[in-house]
Amino acid sequence: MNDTKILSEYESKKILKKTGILVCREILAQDLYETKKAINELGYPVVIKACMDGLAHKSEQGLVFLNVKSNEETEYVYNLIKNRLPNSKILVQEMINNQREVMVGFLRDNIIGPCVMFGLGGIFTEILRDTTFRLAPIDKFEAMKMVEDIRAKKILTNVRGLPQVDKDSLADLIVKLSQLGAQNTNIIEIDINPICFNKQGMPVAVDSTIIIRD
Amino acid sequence: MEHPLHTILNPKSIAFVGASSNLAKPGALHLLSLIGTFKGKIYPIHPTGKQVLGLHTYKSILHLPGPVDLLVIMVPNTMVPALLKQAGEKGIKHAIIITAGYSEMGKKGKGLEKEINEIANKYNIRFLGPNCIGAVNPENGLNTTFFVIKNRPGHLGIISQSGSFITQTLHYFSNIGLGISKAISVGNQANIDLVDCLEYLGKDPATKTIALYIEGIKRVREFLKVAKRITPKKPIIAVYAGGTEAGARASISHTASLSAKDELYDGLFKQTGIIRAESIIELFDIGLVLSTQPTLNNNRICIITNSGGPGACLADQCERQGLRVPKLSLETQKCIGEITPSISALKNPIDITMSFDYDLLLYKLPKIVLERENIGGIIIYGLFGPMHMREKIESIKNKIDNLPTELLALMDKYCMQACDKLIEFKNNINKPIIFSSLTGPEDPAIKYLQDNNIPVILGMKRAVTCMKALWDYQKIKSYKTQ
Repeated sequence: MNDTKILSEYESKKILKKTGILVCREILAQDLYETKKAINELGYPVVIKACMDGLAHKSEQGLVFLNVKSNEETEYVYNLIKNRLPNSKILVQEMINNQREVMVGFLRDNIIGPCVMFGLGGIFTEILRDTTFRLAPIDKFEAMKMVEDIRAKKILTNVRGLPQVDKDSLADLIVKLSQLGAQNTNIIEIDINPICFNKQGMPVAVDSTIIIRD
Repeated sequence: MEHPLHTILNPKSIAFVGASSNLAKPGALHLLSLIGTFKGKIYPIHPTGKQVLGLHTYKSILHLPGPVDLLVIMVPNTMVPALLKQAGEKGIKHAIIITAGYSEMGKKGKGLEKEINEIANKYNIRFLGPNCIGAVNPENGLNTTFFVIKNRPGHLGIISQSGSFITQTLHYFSNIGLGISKAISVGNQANIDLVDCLEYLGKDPATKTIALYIEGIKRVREFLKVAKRITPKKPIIAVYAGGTEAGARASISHTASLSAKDELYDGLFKQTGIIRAESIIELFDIGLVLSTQPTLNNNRICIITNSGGPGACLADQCERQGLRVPKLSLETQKCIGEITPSISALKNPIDITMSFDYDLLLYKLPKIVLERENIGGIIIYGLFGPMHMREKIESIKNKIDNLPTELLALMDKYCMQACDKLIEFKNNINKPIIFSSLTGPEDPAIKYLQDNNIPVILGMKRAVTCMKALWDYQKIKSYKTQ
């Protein structure tokens, strides 16, 4: 993996946006002044994350702070990140309801070639391994089958008062990601995890990492 | 242009290199299988030119009277390149290389495999193997394997990365009443690979269902395309053994196959509409049912039995596997009540409780149910044919005088008559009927059903899994036509 490069979350999402994937509102800040300015624009509560190339598994390293609600909290979190990673930038994001998290991924397998993956997201990705794969690229019909293929598919319905997930848009997202990965041979891996759902049930990419050949 | 596998599976003449009269040698044992059933001409090659197993032999390939359709090679690996060259010069275009010791055996083997590939390309020879067991076609008696074809030709085509599953299984196939159309062992896939075979069986009219044993597919993207084209027309069932770390290790040393993670193959199967079997036994269970039964048009199953436990297990398994066991209408229950013993259960399962009324179990009840109810398919448990009564009488021989054994003949007759009625009824209804049993073809009634395309599956869960596979395939077909 010497010749690979892990793109920052911000860079990864810029690529997703260009592909037409809905990404959460976010602003990249250099310093505390810009961080506060970004919060003014987005409004509390926000999510504050460390953001730099080469940085993966931010949550596990304690570099993601959800539901930040005040200037006091902001300053505290800002200093924590800067103390740990002085070169890191600060990514400020709107807080999206994260009661339901799914994930979509792309990988270039040594034997099989480009593959796309859909599954349960967040911490459950690793615990439950409720995922399904296809050889990429795929069409909408296949993506719809993937959406129906996970054991926890009921989570996508209007359970416990949550809005019904827009499966059509979710399938569109899977198709777009499968095409993005399959068409760009320098992309080795894409991870969009978690994907949450807005009030209309539309899937929104909340975190993402793209690994490319350098 | 004709598919090279067409000639390999339908040769008129075969030359066999490695022929021997010494029955301790594999060459002799494989040749014996061929002599036993092959309908074409066999030309054994032997350097001394003497007779082998009663056949006239030829000193070398170059000594053959003319080019043969197929060359079978079974000699040590280093001798193969020279033989293949001779074959090319003689104008032979098709070969099966049984010999092992190629890319599955490290660097030196890889070099040898490259060499035979180059020779084949130069002379336009297409070959199966190396490191394979060849092919079986019961229609013309082609059999390059060690074991003997025992069953009649049928409609399951098998492509296997292991020779074992098309040779050691031949006896098993006859036991479960499975008729095969073609069976191909692909070995290292140096020239003809699994995708070529799939393409061929996809178009082979005798093959109605295809079973695959996979350790690692070489051309995955082509496989995707070809399999997708076939599954709307013919079911494909597959076992994949390379998905775990140990499985992958075994696959590399067995057939030099590079395996991929299980979940990726699982995705590939879903994408192509291939039904995945959990084991080899399940592969052939499902293969038997899918190659003999009509489609299951809905998932409402009726269970007919004379034993409570097996009936309950069947019903339970149906629901666990996503099939339905709907209650029959009151009118139908009344109808059934009029002809069954008073203690019978009528709702579904229909349980006539240890009744030996064959006509009722095998004919009258299936007929009433299918005529009156919207039922997709039937599973029957409880065929106790002539074997059981004979065993009983055998066991009390010399203990009771003057036992009226003519009753035995009568029971046999009733049982076989009921089987005949079921077979005739079945041929006119176009709905699947599967038997679940704890007895095999040692019971003549079961053998009789098997020979007439009514599958008898051992156990309850396995029988239901077969019905479920019919339902899976129905869904796959409806996907593809959307």
